[in-house]
Amino acid sequence: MKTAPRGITLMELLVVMGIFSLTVALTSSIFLLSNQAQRRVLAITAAQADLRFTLESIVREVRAGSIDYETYEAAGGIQAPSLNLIIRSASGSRLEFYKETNPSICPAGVAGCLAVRVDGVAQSVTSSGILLENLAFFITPQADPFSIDEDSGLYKADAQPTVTLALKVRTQGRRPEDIVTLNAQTTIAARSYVR
Amino acid sequence: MIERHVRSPHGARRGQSFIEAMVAITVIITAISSSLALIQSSITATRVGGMQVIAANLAREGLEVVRAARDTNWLMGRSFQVGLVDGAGNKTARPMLDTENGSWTLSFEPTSMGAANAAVYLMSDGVYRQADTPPTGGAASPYSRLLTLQHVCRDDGTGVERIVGSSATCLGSETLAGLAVYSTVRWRGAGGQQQTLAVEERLYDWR
Repeated sequence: MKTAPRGITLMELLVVMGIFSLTVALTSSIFLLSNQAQRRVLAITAAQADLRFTLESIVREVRAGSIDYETYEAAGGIQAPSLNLIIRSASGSRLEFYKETNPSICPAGVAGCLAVRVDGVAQSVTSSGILLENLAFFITPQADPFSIDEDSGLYKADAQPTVTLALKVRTQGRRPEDIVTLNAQTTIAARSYVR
Repeated sequence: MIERHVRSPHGARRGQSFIEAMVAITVIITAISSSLALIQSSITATRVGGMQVIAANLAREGLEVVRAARDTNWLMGRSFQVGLVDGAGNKTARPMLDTENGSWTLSFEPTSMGAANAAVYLMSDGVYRQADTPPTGGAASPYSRLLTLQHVCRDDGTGVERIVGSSATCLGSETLAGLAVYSTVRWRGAGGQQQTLAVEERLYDWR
């Protein structure tokens, strides 16, 4: 003997729909959250990688090369902070690190980037999606310790060339989770022992 | 769902038992919470990595300041240790940046890692600075930094080197051969946990 299948009561339907919509809402919110987190992780990783690369490229040049005091002197001396860092590299070329805003040099869509001018030709060091907000160099001593002052017959300064660089980068993006700001700073003492 | 319900011999429908419901709910909650925990930990790990890059650079800065001071002593034709060994025997120092001309000095004012004067401040122009009192225009950063400069003593007879700790100095039969420099950066991470990064370098009186 078979009993006829009983239908679903309104109450049961409501409960089922309630649970179902709750589950859907919960899973979609988790999905959105994980998506957001993923984007944030991506942004932090990108900023971090770029920061590391940028810092290391400057550190390497300061260590191996020497500060181009001649160019600074011709331009009126070294400011504190200085907006650029001019290095005479070990191979003899002149490198200038500075903040570039020219869109034809910076990666597409970036309003400011850290660029290096090698013998007059500029190219960006920071990659696309990374905005350079701030760049400052502190160069000490402010006069060349390896050249002699003609008037006094003494060396112009008695200190090992040291460069402190502070930079602030921001990842670019439309959503708030895409935007990460990192402030980094380091100091490098030149490894050249001329005197 | 309803068709799949097993009927009891009496023809009455058997619902899900309370235990079954509890098991199902537990499984769902475990799945959700573990995925949330995973997301959280991945964010934290990345943020820790980001702060580590900054901390490593701040730590290197400490070492380079000491190195530059030693090299400057050479340029000035004086002993390598001038200004690096405190007369009062303090071996902890803080590198201080003079933003007027970009020069660095070491301050041997008594300090420790937890002390307020070991804190690193982030200035509005993006420069990290340490100061005796909070500088104007500076905001507290999560970082603190401390340098420890310990003496490397070489025995005149045997040539054996040793690092002397605390406030001790080299013995009469030893020469100060160099300095063991430790640069420690401590910061409070994203999850409120304390992280420490220490780098070490030996600076000797030879190039």
